[in-house]
Amino acid sequence: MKKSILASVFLLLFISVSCDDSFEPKADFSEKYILNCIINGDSTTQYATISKSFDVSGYDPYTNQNDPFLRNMYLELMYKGKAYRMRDTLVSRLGDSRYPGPIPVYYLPNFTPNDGTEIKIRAYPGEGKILSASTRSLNPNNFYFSSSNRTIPTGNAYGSTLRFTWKEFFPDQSLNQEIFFAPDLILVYYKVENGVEKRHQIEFPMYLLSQEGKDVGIYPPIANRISTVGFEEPAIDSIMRSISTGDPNKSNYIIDKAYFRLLIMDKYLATYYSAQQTFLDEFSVRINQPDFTNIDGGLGIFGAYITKKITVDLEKFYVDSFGYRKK
Amino acid sequence: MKKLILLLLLLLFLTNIEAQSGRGTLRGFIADSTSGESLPFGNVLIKELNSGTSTDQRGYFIITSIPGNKKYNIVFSYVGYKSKELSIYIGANKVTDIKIILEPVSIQLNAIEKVASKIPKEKSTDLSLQKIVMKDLETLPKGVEVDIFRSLQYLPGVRSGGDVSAKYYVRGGASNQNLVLLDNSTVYHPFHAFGIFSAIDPEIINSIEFYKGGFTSELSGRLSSVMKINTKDGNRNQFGGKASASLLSTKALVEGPIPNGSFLLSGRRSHSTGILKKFMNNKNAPIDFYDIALKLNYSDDEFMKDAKFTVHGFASGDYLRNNSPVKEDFAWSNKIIGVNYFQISDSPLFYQIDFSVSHFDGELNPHGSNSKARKNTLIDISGKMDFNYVYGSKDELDGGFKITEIKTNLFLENARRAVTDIATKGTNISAYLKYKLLRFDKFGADVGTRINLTRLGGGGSDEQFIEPRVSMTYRILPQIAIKAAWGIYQQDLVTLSDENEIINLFEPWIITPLYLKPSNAIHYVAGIESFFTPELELSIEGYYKRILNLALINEKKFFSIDNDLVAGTGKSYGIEVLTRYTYSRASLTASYSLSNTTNEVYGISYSPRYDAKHSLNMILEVDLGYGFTASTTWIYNSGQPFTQISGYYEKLAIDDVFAQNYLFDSYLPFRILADKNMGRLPDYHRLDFNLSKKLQLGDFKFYLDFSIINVYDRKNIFYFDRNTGERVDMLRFLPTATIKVEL
Repeated sequence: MKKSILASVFLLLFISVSCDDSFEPKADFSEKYILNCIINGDSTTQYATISKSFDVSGYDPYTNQNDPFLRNMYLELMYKGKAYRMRDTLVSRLGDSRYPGPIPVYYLPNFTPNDGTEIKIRAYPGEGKILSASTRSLNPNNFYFSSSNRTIPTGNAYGSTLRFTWKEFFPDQSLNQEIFFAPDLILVYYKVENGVEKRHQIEFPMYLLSQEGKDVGIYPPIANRISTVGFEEPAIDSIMRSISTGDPNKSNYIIDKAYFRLLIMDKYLATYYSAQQTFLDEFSVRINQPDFTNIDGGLGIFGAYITKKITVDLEKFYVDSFGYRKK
Repeated sequence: MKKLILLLLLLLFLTNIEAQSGRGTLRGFIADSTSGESLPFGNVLIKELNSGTSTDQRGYFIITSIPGNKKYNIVFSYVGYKSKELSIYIGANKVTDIKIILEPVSIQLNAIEKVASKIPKEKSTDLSLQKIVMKDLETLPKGVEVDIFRSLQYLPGVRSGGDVSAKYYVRGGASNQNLVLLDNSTVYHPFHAFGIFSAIDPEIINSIEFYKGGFTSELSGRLSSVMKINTKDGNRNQFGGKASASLLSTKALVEGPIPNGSFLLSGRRSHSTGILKKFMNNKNAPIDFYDIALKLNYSDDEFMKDAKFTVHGFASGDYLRNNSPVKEDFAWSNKIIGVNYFQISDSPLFYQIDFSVSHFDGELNPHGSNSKARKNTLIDISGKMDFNYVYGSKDELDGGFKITEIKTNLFLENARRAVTDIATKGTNISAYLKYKLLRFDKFGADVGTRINLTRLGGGGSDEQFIEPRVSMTYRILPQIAIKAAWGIYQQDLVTLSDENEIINLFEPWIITPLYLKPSNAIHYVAGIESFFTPELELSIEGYYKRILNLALINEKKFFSIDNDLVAGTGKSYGIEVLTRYTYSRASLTASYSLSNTTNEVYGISYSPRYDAKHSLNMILEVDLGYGFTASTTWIYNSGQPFTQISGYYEKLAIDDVFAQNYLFDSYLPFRILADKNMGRLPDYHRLDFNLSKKLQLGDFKFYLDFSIINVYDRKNIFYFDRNTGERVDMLRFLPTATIKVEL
């Protein structure tokens, strides 16, 4: 038995000393190209960028000094059987950009793909590589608002809920599934600070959910197959109250207007936008990350969107009831 | 085919009648002399026949087919107790009932009572079953306190969640595939403090049966493992109490007799969370937890002969209160109440009726933090009946049925504003029947099936599912048995847990949604069990487990309409070796497992985070005499899979979808990850040491423990923080001490 114990002890010591402790958090670097292009169906000019991946000596990518955005690449949009080469230009970056100098941007003027047909992009970053993607442009004529409220409060037409309804018309109903809506209702107001009116805006929740005796605002999700969204009066009231919480000088708040925005996206842009957002509580530790791309041969996004907007007026008596002023 | 089955059943019945003539049955119960507490897994040996059995989890045993009208010398033994040898007359065609009281060996003695040699259960088909009594765990090094789940990591085939988690993974199964039963009631959140400790106080536990796979038809509801925890009844002879304190909690237990029964009440509460900083990488975690257990049992032969009625309750709660308007708070709780009725009939028949209500609540209140509100409630109302009939031929017939109604509510919203709001209710009705063929000297089999008449999903839809199971053993030599098991298992209740989160505070339970079929698994297990000498035992088991419809979290849930879960598949296989050598006052246990686990989802195959190719555990225990016991454990696991970084890119960040110019200058660096879990973290190994001292001063017994965790201060990596490049390690060198006083 003594021999067994001694042998075990020596074995443990040997293993504990000799165990391979090598650890490589990084795999071999392989260069990838990133293409971003979002077709704005309300604009006459379309833009794109192309960049390449990079590596850094440590684990802080902010230490990268080499601008990864690429110039002089060949990018083309294909629409209605024609190919349109995108032009190369430089656009000034914001002052706090991590890279010096302007950003290389590709653009195509006088080009508004908005008839609901397929549009493709293709980029040739060199070394025989091809990045490509396709989506469907969005036709603003396929969407229109119907019977929506235009004032806060609503009156009696839709009860106490401010409701916005829209309709979509597609000859091919299967396209409905590929369209996503991001609605929001924004309040624009001014606060007088040191004699100056400073502009603010805040989003209204759809309704309030009671959690542990406290109200939590639930905001409109990005979703498809929806055609209406309602904002309950208590939720609107709570935002109206919240803008001046703790401030006894209510007359310093000047309410301008509200507007309801409907951003209509293709499924790729909607998914990309959703995927980039993530959260964790203070103690959870997550070791992977969500990402989304629809670019074949690389990373990035090729999507399309259009917007619709309704201005909503706030009644003076309603604004007065909070002690605010109406602009 | 039906006629053939009927013929076989008739044959079995007739041969059972034939086998009974002229033979007798010995049936009994073994208990502790001081407390009256049952002694599970004790040995009963008929010397003249050189055969015997073990007591079950309730302390009962039965030996049939003993040649009648004779006296036999029968030895009753139990580790840590003085063996008792009695001369008992066994009448022909009769059941002889006895109650055996064994006296514990005084802790002052400078010796260990020599217990009877382990009796090989010749035809037992208990493959992959580990029977644990709390005495087995008390001498092991303690992290902070004795912990049942942490102790499982010493078993081959069981992988722990690391030093900071008591969660366990059995033979490549996810942690939500493990069923924990407390006196036959399901515990849905059996952990305290982020999963660092078990919520079930070891002081209340009498015995544990832990099934790693291939379990037979009476057990249901999970794919990978079942842990049956049997709590103590309380002292039937006198009032007593225990109190103890560790660096984490203070606890107390009182027990004593009541008319025709006994009671036990225990409570534990955290008093300091300072020690948790060691587990949480120095993060301050303002955790507050408690657990309370109560058990009352009643058995009066005049009122209900040979029966026992038990009422038990359990409650635990964990609160993480940041006391800050900008930080989130968490709360979890279990509440269980149950009754058990156990009856021994005049014929060799046992039956038990159980009824329980188990309630689980989990909640995250985000306050002003970035977290989102989450809330989960589960109510499980279960009733079941099991019977066991022992034939004179030694064969046994087991059967039973179970009705479970479960209601779950889940609300959560992710940062993408994708809301999950599920309120489901379902009823599962199932029944089982199995036949244990134990009449042959060398061969034993357990053949049965469970049939699920309804599934929980869809409010109890009538989708039927059959779970056939077979377990066999053949003793090729008196010292060597080969065993095999096969079975199909179903699970219709899952957690929405993200295995990419290595610390996950919110793991809500939901009934498997109707868009998924219930997960099911097929187990194939085979092994050899041997007792070469009374001192040396060795078992080798190989297994293959295939899981279909494995419910995995949908990592591509971007919108509220997207499903929360997707169906994947899982596959694991491996070989496990366990050997134990006992010599005089020392024992050495070593276990090794070689395993491989892969899951597949979205067409991608990967090793889950808890996959460990090699695992080696060694435990050396030495009784030093005079109440001193020393033990040391060494654990080795090959590194866990992780996903490496393969570069970075400037990712277009759309803060506001309504903004127009984000394409020009709205980019943030983003990591490009290599193929999922293709990298491996460094190997894990750790040496722990424990020294225990028991002493008695007057009526008081003192139990002093001193442990050192990670004796050689190994830096075992917990995870690598890709954001900061920081390597976060698990527990470093940690000395701890506990004291327990018993009256």
